[in-house]
Amino acid sequence: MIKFTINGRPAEVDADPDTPLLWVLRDDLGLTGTKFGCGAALCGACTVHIDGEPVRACSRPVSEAAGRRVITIEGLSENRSHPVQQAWIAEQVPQCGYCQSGMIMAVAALLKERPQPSEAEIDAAITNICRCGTYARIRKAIHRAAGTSVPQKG
Amino acid sequence: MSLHEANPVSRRAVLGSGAATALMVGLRLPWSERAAHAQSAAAPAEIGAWVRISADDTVTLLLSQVEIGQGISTTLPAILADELGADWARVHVENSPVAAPYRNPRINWMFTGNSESIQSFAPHLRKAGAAAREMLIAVAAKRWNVSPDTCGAENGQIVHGPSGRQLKFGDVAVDAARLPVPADPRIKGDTDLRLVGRALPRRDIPAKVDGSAVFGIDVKVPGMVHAAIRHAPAFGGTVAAFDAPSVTQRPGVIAVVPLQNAVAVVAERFWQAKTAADALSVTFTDGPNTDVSSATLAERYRAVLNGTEWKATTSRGDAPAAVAAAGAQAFTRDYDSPFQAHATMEPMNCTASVTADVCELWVPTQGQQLTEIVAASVTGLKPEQIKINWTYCGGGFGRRLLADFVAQAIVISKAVERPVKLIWTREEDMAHDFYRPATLTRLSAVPGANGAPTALAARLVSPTQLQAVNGSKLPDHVDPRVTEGLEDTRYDIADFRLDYHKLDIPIPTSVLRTTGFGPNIFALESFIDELAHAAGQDPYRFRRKLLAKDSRALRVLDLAAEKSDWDKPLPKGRARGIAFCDGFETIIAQVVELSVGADKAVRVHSLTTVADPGRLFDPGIGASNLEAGALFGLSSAFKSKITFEAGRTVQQNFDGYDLVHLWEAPPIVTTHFVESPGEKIGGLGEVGPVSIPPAVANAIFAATGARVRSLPLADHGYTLAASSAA
Amino acid sequence: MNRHFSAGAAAVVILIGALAATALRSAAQSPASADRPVSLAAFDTVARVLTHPRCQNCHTQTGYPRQGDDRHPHAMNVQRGSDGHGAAGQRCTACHGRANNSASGVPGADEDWHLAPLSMGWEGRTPRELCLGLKDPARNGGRTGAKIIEHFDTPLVRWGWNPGRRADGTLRAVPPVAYAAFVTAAKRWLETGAACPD
Repeated sequence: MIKFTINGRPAEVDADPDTPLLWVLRDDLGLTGTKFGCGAALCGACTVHIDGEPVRACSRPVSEAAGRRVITIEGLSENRSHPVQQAWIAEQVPQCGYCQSGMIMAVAALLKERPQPSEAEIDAAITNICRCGTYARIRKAIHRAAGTSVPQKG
Repeated sequence: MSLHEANPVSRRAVLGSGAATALMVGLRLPWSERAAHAQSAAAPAEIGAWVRISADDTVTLLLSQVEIGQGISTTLPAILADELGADWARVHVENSPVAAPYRNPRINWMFTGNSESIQSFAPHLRKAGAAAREMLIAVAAKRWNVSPDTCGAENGQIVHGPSGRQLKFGDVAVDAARLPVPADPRIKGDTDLRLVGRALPRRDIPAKVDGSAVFGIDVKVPGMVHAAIRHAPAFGGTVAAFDAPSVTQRPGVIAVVPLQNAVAVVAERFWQAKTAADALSVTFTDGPNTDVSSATLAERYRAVLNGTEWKATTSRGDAPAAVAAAGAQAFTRDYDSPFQAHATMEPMNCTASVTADVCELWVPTQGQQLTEIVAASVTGLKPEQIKINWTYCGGGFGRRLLADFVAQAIVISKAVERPVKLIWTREEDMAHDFYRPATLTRLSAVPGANGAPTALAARLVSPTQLQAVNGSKLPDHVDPRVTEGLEDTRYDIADFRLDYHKLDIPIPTSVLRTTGFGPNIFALESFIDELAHAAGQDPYRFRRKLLAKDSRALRVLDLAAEKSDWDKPLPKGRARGIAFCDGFETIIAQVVELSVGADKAVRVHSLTTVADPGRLFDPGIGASNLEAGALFGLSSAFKSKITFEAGRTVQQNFDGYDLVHLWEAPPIVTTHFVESPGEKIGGLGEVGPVSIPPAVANAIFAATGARVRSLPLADHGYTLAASSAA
Repeated sequence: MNRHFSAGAAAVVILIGALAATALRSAAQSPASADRPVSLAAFDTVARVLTHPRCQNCHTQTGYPRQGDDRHPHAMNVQRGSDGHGAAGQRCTACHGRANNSASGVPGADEDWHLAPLSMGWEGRTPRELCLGLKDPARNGGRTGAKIIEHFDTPLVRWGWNPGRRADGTLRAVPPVAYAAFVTAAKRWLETGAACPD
C-alpha cells in the first residue's frame, strides 16, 4: 500500500511501486483530468503538483509520491476559481483542450514562484506542447493571471 | 451499412417518446449535387430530428459534428438558437445518432472534417430554426387568436407584439409538434441576429480548464479492462509468433490477443497491460517493404517526376507547349514537402463492448460513419446493433476520420468478452499513423512582359490523401484532396495545366489539417515569390497583378499588406514574407516578419493573418482557429518531418518529431477578417496553417537571399529561436 | 520546498560552504618531481571521465544543460536557472526523479537533479584547464582534496556509471574508465601532488 495525499484527501493505493503516478491517478483514483500524451516527460500533458512543485506524472513512480501532497487539475481550485483557470476562460484559450490541464498546472506552479514572470521566465518554465497551437492565447492568459501586460513588440 | 435505415417517423417516435420531449423538427432538404460518395445514389432525401424542444423550455440540438477543438459545439447551436429566437442559456447539444439524417449533405457522409461543419450545416440549421420558430408561433398565435405575423420569438418566448403577451417555448411545444413542418420558413435578416457575428464564450471551455471534459481516453464503463498494443514495426509486417505464457503470470494480465499486424495485451490496469506488452516475447515478420526508406522513396518520386505517366486535372490553353517554346526563358523550380504525422495530443484509443448482439463503442472519432461500417464489418452485426458514443477529441487533424484502432478494440473486446479500453502509446501512435504524404512538385512558368506568368505548367507527384477516408476506390491518378490548391488557383494565368501522378507506396497515407493545400501552396507561393524576385518586383504587388481582376482576393491581400505594415521599412536584419491561398472556401493572406541569426536561428516576430470566409459566424472562435492554425503552420514550416528506414517509421515520440513550443511562438499573432456577403461560406479550421510555410520561406529569402525549396526548414539548418531572446 | 528536496539542497550548501580553510595544499605547490609522472598519468585517467558526455552534459559552460552522447542542448528549452536547478516553475526535478525511470527513459538519481555551477563548467576545456580548475577552490565549489573525493561519491556522480536506458530501451554510454578505477586514479592524482599537464 502506498499512501499519499491527493487533492487534500488521503489516498491509499495498491499498485506496483514503479507504476507511473499518472496511471495511478487515472486508473486507480479515477482522476482523468491529468492526461497521457507522450509517456516520456516530453509534452507536459500529465503535469501535477507534488508538494507544490510541478512534476510530469508519466515519469514519476508512484512510490516517489508516498507521504507527499499531490494536487491534480481537479484539485487546483473549487469551481475553476484559480486565477489561472479564470484567465484561461477569459482568454478563451482551449481548443481541443487535451494539453490544457497540464498547461494550467505548469502555469499555476510558475506563478506561485514568480507572481509576475518575465517573458524569458515564461519561456523557460512553460515547455508543454499544444498541438492545436493555442500559444498566443496561453501567453495572454498567463499575463492576465499575473496582472502583467502582453508584449506589444515582436 | 446504415444508408437505408433512416426512418424519420420511427426516429421521431424513439426520440420523442420521453415525456419531457415535445417538439422535434425534421426538415426536407435537397441533397447536394456534389455528392461524391458511391453510396449517394441511395441517399434518402430528408434531414430529420435535429432539434428537440422540451416542456421545460430547453432546446436541444442533436449535433452530428464532433468537437475536435474547432469550437463547433458552440457555433452550430448558436446559429440554430439565433434563428429560433431561443434563450441561449437553455440551448444544449447532444450527440446525434449515427444515421442518415445527420450526414453532411454535401457528400451524404457522416464525419467531421475538411473545414465543412459550418459550410455544410449552417444553412440547414437556420432553416430548421426558422421552421421550429414558425411552428411555435403558430400555436401561440392560435391561442391568442391573433395573426402569426404579429408574433415573434425571443429569448425562448413567443411574444405578441401589440399586446406584449408572452408564452414560453415549453408551453407551446407540445401542440407545435402536431403541426406540419413548414417547407419554406422565412429566414431572419442579418440585422435580426443576436448571436451570429458575436464572439461567444465557448461552451466546452469550462470543462477543459478543470479536468472534467471527457475525452475518449477518459471513458470508464462498468467491467472495463485495459489493452495495450504492439504493432509489427514495419509496414506490411505481421505477427510471426508470440509466447503468451511469457506474460500471463504478470500481475493483472488477462489475455494476449493476436491481431494480424499487432498483438494486444489485456490487463486490469493500463500500466499492467503496457508493461506486459513490452515484456511479451513476440516476433514480427518485416513483410515485403524493408527496402522502403526515405532515400528510396525520394528516388521513386524523382523518377516519376521525370517520367511520362500523368493525368491532367486542369488544362486551359497549352501551358506545356508554351513552356517548351519559351526555351531558356522558361522558369522552372522543384519543391518538396515531407511526410507528416498528425501527432494528436490524445493518442489513438477506443473503448469497445462487444457481445453476440451488440457492439457499443466509446471513441474520440471524427468519422462516425466509417466507424460504423468498420464495426459492422468486423462484428457482422447490423447498424442498429452498433452504438457509437463519440467524445471530445484530443486533436483530430484528420487522423480520427479513420477507424483502424476501432477495429482493434472490437476484436480485443470480442476475444476477452469484456468491455476493453485500448490505448496506443505515443510510440505506436507516431509509428503507425496514416501520414500526410510527401509531395514533389515541378512548376514551370513563362514570364510575360510585366514579369507575371502567362503560362504555368505544374507536375505533382504524391501518394493519395483521400483513399483511406473515401467510400469507394478512386481512379488512377485522381485524388481531389491532393490536387486542390494548385489546380484551382485564383491567379490569372492564361495557359495553365496541372498533371498529377498518384504514387503507389506501401506506407499508409491520409489527410492531415491543410490537406493538399499545405504542400501545394508551399510550392506555388514559393514559386510566385521566386518569379517576383526574378522580375525585380515586390512580392506583394506582383501577386496583385495576378489577382488584378479579383476584387475579393485583392481586398484580402491589400489588408494583409496594410496590417503587416508591408511598406514600412524594417530594422536591419528583419524581413517579411507574404503568401496567399484560397482554400476551404476561405481566402487568406499571411505575412511573417522574422530575423535570421548568424547560426540560422530564426526569430519570428509576428504573424499576420487576413481571411475572408465569406461570412464570419463567430469572430472570437474564428480568430482562435486562425491564430492557433498559424502556429501549427510554424511547426510545419520548421520541424515536421517523418522519415522511414527499412520499411518503418524512424520517429517515435516528440523528441524525434518536435512541435512548436510556447517559447518559439511569436509574441504577436494577429487575425483580421473581411466578409463577403452572398459568397460561399468558408471554413476556418484547416486554412490557418496553409500559407505559413511559404510565407516563412519567402521571408527567409528576403532576409538572407537563400531560397528554401524543401520542407522542413530544419533540414536546411534553420531553427526557431526563443521569442524572448534579445 | 518539500523535505526530501531541501535535504538535497542542504547537502549542496554544506559542500559549497566548506571553503578554503582546509583547502587543497595549494595549486601552486609543485609535486615532488618523482611523483609527477605518476600524478600526470593518474590525471589522464581522471580526464577521460571528465570529458565524457555523462559528466559534461551537466558541467556545461552554458545557461542550459545538454543531453545525449552527442551532447545536444537539452530539449524543451531547459534552462540552468539561478541555482543550477532549473528555471523557476520548471526545476530539473519536474522530470528527473530519484532513480532512472524505466517507464519514460528519463534518468534520475537519489538527490535533486541539477547542473554543476558555471564555475565548474568543463566543456571545451583542455586537460590542463580541467586540471587547474579541478583543484582551484575558487572553481571547484571550494573543495579540498578529501571533499573532491567525497563529491565523487554523490548520487549524481555515481549516476554517470549507471545512466540507465533511454525510452527506446538502448543503454546510455558510460565513461571509458570504471568507477572504482576513476576514484582510485583521482586519489592517486591528489596523493601524488595533483600535477597538471603543461
